[in-house]
Amino acid sequence: MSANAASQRREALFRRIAGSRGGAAAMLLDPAVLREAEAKLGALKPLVVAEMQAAIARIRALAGASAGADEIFAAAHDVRGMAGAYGFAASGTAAGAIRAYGEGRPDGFRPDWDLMRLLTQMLARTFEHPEAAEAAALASVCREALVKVMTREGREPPLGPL
Amino acid sequence: MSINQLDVLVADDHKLTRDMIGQVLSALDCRKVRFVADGADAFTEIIAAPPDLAIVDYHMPLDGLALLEKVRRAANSPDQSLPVIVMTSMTDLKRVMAFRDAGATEIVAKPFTAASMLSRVAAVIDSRRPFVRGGGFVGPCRRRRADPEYAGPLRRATDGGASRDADSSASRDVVDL
Repeated sequence: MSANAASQRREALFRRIAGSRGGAAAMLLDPAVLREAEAKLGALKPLVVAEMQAAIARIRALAGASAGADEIFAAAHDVRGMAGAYGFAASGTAAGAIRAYGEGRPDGFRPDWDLMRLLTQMLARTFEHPEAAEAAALASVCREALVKVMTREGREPPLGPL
Repeated sequence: MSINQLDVLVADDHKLTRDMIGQVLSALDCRKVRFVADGADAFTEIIAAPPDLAIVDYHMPLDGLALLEKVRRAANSPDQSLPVIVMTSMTDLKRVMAFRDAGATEIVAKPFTAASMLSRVAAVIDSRRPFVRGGGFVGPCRRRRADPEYAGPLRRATDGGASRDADSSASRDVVDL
């Protein structure tokens, strides 16, 4: 199928769906469809938790050895993407703080390993105890520490959610 | 159900995230869902067979923004008006504006839920906007609501004296400014 034909096919399909009763929203946001989608998403939770666990262990080991910053930032990014979707909101924030610390880092960047270890500890604790009342407070500590160090380094701290 | 006729391309370098999106889309029983791990492979797929919709991560090799630039502006892009949903965990205003300026059709914040992902897919289909080229911008019209007082950059189908049908959702016209 040529690109033009593909584009025309898409437009016809979209028009047909949008023109049906309630449009795409009625189909995609139908409670039964959402329940099925959430259930299918939920089926992946054991895999996600196992991967998060392995990633966090790796981050802790590297941070403990003050080595592998690039790998830590990449792993934290992955953990950030998974955590919130599966009930680990505070861990997501802690991982987001690590990710944000690495974002836009200059060439030859030498991270503040005390900060890295602090954030890693927060990540591990909130992952192990996601239900704990202290989880949200621990996450906010991450932001304070991050802002303090990045400001000292002359870098712009993140303004949005971690 | 015609929704299952959709051909969707998913680009994310994290396999479990690809699986998560695949699970959400499987609830729609989509005709075809293709998965790639980076922006370069995504563009190759788009050239080979343009999908109906691309869902792309921001943070991956040849990131979502660079891929979007290629889709919207590269001479060899087969479908500049391809709807592209960008996923990102970086939702600060500056970043979101960068995605919109690059011509993102919709943005999904990570972590996503089934509802947040499917609502963006529904918006792409139900709220089709005219495609705009001009004033340095290539992408879907930025104006979701009419604003006769608007005096900002030219990124809307009605900017710069260009004319178009009053009913923006009835057809997906292309406007050159």
